[in-house]
Amino acid sequence: MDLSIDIESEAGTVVVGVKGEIDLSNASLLERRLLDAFDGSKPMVVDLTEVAYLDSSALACLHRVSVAAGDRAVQLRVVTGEEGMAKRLLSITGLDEVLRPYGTLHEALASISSEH
Amino acid sequence: MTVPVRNESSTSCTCPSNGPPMNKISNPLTSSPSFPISLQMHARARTSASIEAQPLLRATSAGDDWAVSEPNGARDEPGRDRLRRAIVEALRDGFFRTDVDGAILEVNDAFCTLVGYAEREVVGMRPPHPWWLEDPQGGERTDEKIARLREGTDRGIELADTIVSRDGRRLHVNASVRVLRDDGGAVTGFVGTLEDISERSAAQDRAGRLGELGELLARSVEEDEVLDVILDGVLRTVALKGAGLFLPTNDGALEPRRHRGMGWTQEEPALPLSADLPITRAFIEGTPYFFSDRAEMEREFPDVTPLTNAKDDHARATLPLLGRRAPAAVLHLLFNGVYEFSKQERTFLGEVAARCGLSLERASLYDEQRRDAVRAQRLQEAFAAMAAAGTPAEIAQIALQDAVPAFSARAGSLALVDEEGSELRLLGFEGSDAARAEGWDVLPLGADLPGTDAVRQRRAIYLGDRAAIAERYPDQVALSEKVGDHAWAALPLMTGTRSIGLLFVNFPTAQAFDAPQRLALESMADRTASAIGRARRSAHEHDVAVTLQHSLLPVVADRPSVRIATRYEAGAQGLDVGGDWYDSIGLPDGRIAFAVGDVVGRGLEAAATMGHLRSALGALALRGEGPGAVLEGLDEFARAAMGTHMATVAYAELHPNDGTMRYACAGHPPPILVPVDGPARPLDGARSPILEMLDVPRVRPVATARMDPGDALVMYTDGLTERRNETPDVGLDRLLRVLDASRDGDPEAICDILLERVAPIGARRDDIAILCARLREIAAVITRVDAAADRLVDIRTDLEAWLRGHEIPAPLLEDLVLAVAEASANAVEHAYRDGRAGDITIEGSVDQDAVLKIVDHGTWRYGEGDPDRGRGMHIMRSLVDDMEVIRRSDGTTVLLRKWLTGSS
Repeated sequence: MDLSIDIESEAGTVVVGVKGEIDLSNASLLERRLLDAFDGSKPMVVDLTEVAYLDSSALACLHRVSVAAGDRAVQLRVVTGEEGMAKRLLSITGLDEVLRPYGTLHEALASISSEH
Repeated sequence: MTVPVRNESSTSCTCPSNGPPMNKISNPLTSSPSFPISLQMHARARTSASIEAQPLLRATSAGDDWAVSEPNGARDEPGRDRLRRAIVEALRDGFFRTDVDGAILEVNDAFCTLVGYAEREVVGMRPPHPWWLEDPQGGERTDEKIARLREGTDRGIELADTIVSRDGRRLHVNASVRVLRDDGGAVTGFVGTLEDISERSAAQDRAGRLGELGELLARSVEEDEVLDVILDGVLRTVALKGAGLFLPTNDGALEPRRHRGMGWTQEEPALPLSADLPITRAFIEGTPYFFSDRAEMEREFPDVTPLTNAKDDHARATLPLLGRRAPAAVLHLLFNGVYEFSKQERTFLGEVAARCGLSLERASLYDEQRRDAVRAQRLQEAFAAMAAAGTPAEIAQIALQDAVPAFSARAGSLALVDEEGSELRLLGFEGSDAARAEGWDVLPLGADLPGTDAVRQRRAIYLGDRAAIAERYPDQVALSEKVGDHAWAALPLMTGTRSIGLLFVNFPTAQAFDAPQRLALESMADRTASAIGRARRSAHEHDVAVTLQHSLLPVVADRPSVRIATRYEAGAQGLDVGGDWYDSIGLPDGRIAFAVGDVVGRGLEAAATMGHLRSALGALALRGEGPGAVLEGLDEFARAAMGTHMATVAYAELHPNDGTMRYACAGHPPPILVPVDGPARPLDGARSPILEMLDVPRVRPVATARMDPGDALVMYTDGLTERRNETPDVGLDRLLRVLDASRDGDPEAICDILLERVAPIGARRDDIAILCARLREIAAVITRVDAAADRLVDIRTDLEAWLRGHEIPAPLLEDLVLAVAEASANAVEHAYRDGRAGDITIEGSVDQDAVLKIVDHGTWRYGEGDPDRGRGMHIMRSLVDDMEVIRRSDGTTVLLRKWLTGSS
């Protein structure tokens, strides 16, 4: 499955860029990577803007990661872009109420800095 | 007083018994009491020559026994000759006297006129005389016949012959010749008369023709017919080039109604009575006009010149056709050439015109009466039809269809005031489209128009001619001219004191709008208004009933695996709700239950029972124990809850995965199976009586059948098939025939066709419920992969390619791919958890909808496992229009459907 996960630490924030397709075959891999990427209490931004396909496995993964972030008092921001499959699926399942996705990475980062 | 001929009195009065009776008045040789009177009349008629001035006998012959006795019997020779000559000259008939060889001795003026020779030319002329036909029909010239009288003892001859006058005219004459003998009996000469019967035979001929015309006219009663008879009859009676009839219109003109041989075009203009033309003058004055040629007509009536296209110079006669009451028409005759009308001909034509006029008047009276009677009849029929009509639109149609012809109108329209009371909206129109005024479909009620005024003022407005229109509605004159109207009637439709609409009638001619016509128009409007009022009330009641009925019936959605359509049609009784019902229930294991039933009776109670029964059936079906158990449960329900209502039901459960079906019928018509490739057939196994009201437990038989993909199942109530005076078999046969003919339709179309062809509206007498289900044909296998997570991408790729091939647009394609992937992921995660190897098959079909089928052969149940799977199901349901999960012991099938048309 074509998936790339890019993790950068930038100005006190962990930014994970995900590209490709997420389904049952690689959702657990993504989940492990994200959990691994937690860096203390540094805020984390998961950017799904470049994700071409995702399914309920991916949503399940995101949901579990957000629960874990809550456990660790880590601010988690999810970027879905203004439109696209990720935003649509979050909306269909109601997960957008929990994950509160952002339209752009810039907005997500800005929301973190404004809180500090 | 008699003036006997002095000749042998015993013979002179003897006419040959074999000849026709002679005109005694003018024949001096046949003594008759009326002779002098006629003589006097003739004498008076002749003005050219004085009796006294005529020379008396110029020639005397040896046998001078030609003399007339004086009344006093005295034989005074000069006086006697004078008298004789006076008589001879006064004769209208030609007179001649010859010697024994036939040489002319004496003739009178009339003779000279007949033969065309002067007296001096003929006196002394010996036979053969040129005026006798050379070759008469008898074979012998008349002068030869006369000459032969010398031989025999005949006293004379009478014969009819033709003479040719000097100028070539042929004249029919009766010739009467007497032999003159001396006292010894020897022939001394001949004396004779020639009576011109040309005119008389023409008169007889004319009288005959007039009689024929009269008979024809008497036989025809309707005006149209009479007009034809007049033209055809006149053309038979008089040699003419053409004839035309002008009839008065209601607005002071004479319109050319019909013609023969006049070369009129269709659009011959009507002639205003004010025009100074022979036709109008003849009509107004009641006197005929005769013109021996066109120039004469144009001299007298210069106005005629620009009006006539004719370039001929022929004679014309313009005859008023007078009735007893008034002039009925003008008959205009065009002759074949220039012609001088004789007095007789003028009289004759006058007689023709008189007969035509009387017939025409009688016919128009008859037509008027008949029109009134027909109108009354038509209106009665319209009233009856309106009383039976259902909707205001139907009533409008009936009213207009009957009113327009009944009033000899050109068009009619019916409009209703809208709910806000601000507009008049057209409900119906009758007449040619050309007659329809643009922009009149909706009229603001405040407009200054005859129609809106009539509605606002609640009174009829009659505009009898264009002048009346111009006076009251000057802006509308142009419209009336454009559409060809001459008169309008605008009648408000009143219910009580409310004005609910308008009946507007357009007339092609000016109208008198007399009392009977107004009464008829207004009663038409009254009846229409009350019918519409009634229809509105019952439409409201009917709506309530239909709404209630539909609220009691389920909305049966068709499924990805099975297309389902249903219909409920109320019977003719209309207002009551009925007890027919249908339902379809998806059972937990994916089977689909179909039911159609009928609670006998109508009204709310039957409807309520039907509702209970349907609920009970749903509950029983969901237990999943099969058709037998369902019907047995309904038996129990019937005993407990249905009171006296009898009910029937047909019930079937279909497994859409393999098409197996189990069914049972309780007193209900059998379901019909319509195979893709065979004749429709009733499923008539598993028949048992109606639902049981008696306390006797019953085991209901169940039968099986199989539906292949594409097969249809039709369930119905007997209202679909049963008709009065038919056995149920006839209706079933009709249903099967129609299904055979329409097997390819989708269920919606099949339902429509069944209603239309098996139970057309006029043939329905009961409620009808129909359920039609067609098992989906899903032919294409898109892909088959091992049930493994890393093969999901292959499913997505193959499906996307397949959907692109079917030109599914991108957003729909994306949703379908995701939904199928979710279903496949379910199968991967759960179906083969026991470690068995298995595969996943994706099948699909694209029509108005895209249906995708995900088949695994594992065992799993929805609701098992973690909540995240539930999220997958939720995603699937959100992305497609319908989802169906069918479980069997050997695996699970998920069907997903997305509509491609905008319909769902």
